[in-house]
Amino acid sequence: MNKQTKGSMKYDLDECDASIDHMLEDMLNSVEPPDLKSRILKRLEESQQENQEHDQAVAFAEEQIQAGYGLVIPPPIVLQDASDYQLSLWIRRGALLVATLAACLIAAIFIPKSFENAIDPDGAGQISKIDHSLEQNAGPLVEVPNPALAQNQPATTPEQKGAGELASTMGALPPSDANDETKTAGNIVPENKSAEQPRVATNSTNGDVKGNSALLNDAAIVGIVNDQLEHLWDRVGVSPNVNIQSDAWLDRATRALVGRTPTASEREAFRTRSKSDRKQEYVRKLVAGDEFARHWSGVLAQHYLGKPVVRDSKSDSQEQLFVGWIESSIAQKKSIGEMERELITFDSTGRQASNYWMEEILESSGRNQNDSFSNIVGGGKVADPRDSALIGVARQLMRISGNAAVACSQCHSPGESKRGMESVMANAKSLDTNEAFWAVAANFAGVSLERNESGRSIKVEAAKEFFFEDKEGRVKLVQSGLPSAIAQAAQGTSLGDWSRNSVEPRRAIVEMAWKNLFHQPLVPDFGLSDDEGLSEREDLRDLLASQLQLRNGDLGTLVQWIVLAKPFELERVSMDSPWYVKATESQIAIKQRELRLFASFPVTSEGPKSTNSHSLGRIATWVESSGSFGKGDATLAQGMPLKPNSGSGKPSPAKTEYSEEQVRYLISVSSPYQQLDKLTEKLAASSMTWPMLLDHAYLVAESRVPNTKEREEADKLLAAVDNDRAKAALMVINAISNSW
Amino acid sequence: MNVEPLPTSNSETTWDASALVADHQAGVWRYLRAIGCDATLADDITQETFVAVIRRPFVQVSPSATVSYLRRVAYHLLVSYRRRQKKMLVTSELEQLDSQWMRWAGADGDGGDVVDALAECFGRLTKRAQLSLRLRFSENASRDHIAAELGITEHGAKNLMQRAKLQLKQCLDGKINRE
Repeated sequence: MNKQTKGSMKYDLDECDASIDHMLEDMLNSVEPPDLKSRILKRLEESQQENQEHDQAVAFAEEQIQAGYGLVIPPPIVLQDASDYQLSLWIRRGALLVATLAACLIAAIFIPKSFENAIDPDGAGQISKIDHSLEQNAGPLVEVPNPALAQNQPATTPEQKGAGELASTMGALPPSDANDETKTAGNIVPENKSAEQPRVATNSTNGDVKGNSALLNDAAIVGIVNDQLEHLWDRVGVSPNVNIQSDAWLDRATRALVGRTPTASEREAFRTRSKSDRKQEYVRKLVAGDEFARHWSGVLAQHYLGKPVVRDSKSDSQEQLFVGWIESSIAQKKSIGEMERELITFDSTGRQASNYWMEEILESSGRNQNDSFSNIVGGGKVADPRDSALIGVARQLMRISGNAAVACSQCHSPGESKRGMESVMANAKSLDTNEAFWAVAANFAGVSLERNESGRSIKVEAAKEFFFEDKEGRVKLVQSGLPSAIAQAAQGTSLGDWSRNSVEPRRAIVEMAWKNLFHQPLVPDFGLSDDEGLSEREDLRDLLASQLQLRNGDLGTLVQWIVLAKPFELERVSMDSPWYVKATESQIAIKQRELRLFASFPVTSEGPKSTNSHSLGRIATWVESSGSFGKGDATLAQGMPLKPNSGSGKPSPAKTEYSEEQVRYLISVSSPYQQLDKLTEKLAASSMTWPMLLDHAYLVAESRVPNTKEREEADKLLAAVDNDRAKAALMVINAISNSW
Repeated sequence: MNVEPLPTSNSETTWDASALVADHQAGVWRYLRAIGCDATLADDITQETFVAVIRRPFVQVSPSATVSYLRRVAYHLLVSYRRRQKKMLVTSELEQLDSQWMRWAGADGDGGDVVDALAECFGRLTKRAQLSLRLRFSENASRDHIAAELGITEHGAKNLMQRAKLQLKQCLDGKINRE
């Protein structure tokens, strides 16, 4: 490997030196040796089993040959004078060959039939295909519904089906204590989990879940969620936390579903039920009640409006009427698709709500029409200033409908983002422009005009002319269209129909529910790398969204799937303030990673809000009251001033008033998703104004622009760190993504 | 692949498979990375190493003997794998990498100290050298991209990285020798 170059310089290293290269690669990407223990022991067990089967087959064949029943294959000429040992070897090999051929023949006859028997228990006649044809180490491939089919043939609506029937489709939810039962319902644990292969197959071109539609039952869906996450933990070398006790699970589930602790009678009823199905029965009962609708109406309202909403049934404000409409829709088990169609199309039942919704968006967009983001310098903008509000409407709808990449294409060209934009542009059939976003905005031009004229219903006018200015300032004409409709050349598709029939808005609902339950997004808009399970998480979201769409399911159905899944049973991560103070960087980093990968339950989802979650304002207060100590400390505890010892016990830290150094320490070790870190650096180094930078930070972390109060707090923070944009941006992103 | 089990003796200690894996998997994995496996292949060969070792009669004579044995099995599995893949294999290179790792990690080390030492050595490089290596290994940047970032020619970027890696290697050797 020694190499000498021309001239005076000598190098005893080639450019490619495996040791140094790989060690550097691992060190710079923080790659640790994975925990392969379970994988190795499993493989060992299989290997021992194979050996036993092999020995049995050989013994059986030998017996048959000795008894004169088997095929007697004469040894080849070269072995005719061979020793007994060589002859014995030949016989053994011949017997093994015969046994192997017989096994292959049997497999060829029976295995196809066993596939046909894997019919969905719901009687929908669909087959959950488990593909064992992958190579060794590859996981099973579960084909799940094609959103395009759902678009053409929407499933039965709840009205047609009846609330009782819809509830019955929940079927036999899996006992979470008995994973084996789950696995038999539609997914099979791989013999050897893959390091690369995602468990749920997707179409890599456009991100849609591929294959024929397959309506899976609830048990199968929960099983696949568990299996997918276990696969992810195995692949990235993270061990899930231990399971919690059933009492703790009861507390957690009740709080998540209805926002309170369980009553004494609920506890008693839960305790006395059979362990095999008590969790799913309990969840089903809570989801069917009014409390669930009341609790989740606020969550859903926040999703649609982009601002926190508190339910107050006594108030008759427009906002509360809007939340009330959501509550009654959830209580009626109305499907999410149907709710969103009503919201957008202003029909008789949802008209009041949709009026309020549209006015809210228009108002907030109008309020921001002069801000930097709406008329971004260097990006696209509306050619006619009167259409400024449409930018906000288009952006808002694209974000709440799971099309964040389309929203970003207002300013960014597809080449700037490696993830998401390709599929968007492939659908939009655009060459190299950001027309996808403007095609949606053009739709809203039609929407708003129609609404102003008739005041009743919304229908999009096809091929409405709409102009925008591209990055070079050229005015361009764009045809109206919607992300999934454009590919079918059906421009002008009704917004309501698009929302009801497309799988994209269901993705956004999955994301909303998941984030509400785990305080971490399932698939963040940005920031997720393969080390954090990008492919598995995207596949999981697509599976849940497409199953929800195929079933025309309601919010309760989705929440049940998530609450009954494995991550909801895991012990919470122990990261309260005292722990933070004593922990080393590596300990914090490990815990953060577990949390981001759902291998531990977040503290913030239980009980009163945790003390380690802070508003930007509070962080700014800490930074303002900074001291100069604590530089280079290994832990926060070493940098903290201590109270004078009162005489008994150890001296305790002073009140939790962190210094600037300590806050920076906290933030530095709680690094968010890897790419998000890079994005923060890029944002801070850019020539954007601070408000625009803030818009981006909130859009990537929260899929919305900040409100006035949040802007004020962020400004205060920026001032507190001496206008250091990089520090402030990192603090903002960490604080709003609630990752520490 | 022929792997000889360790000789048995009266001083043999009892062991269990789970503990063996837990204690040595990181060391085997780092060793395989150091002799040229990519991460996925290192996972697979680590697995097969333990399966091969545990399936055979095996006794723990001493920690260093166990480490050495595991490395030897892993080495042979890698050679077999490369041969099956019909990839050109220069065993002298592999042997050189193997002995280099022996020198750095020691007879019974799991490589954790080497990683720590590398991090320390990395910190001693110039900022430009660090940046070039970060771009190369963390962002997978091409050589011309690195050159553009640093404002030097492509050849200059190549030299810079070569020198940086040489310094790292010398630094590691120096640290090991001091210890």
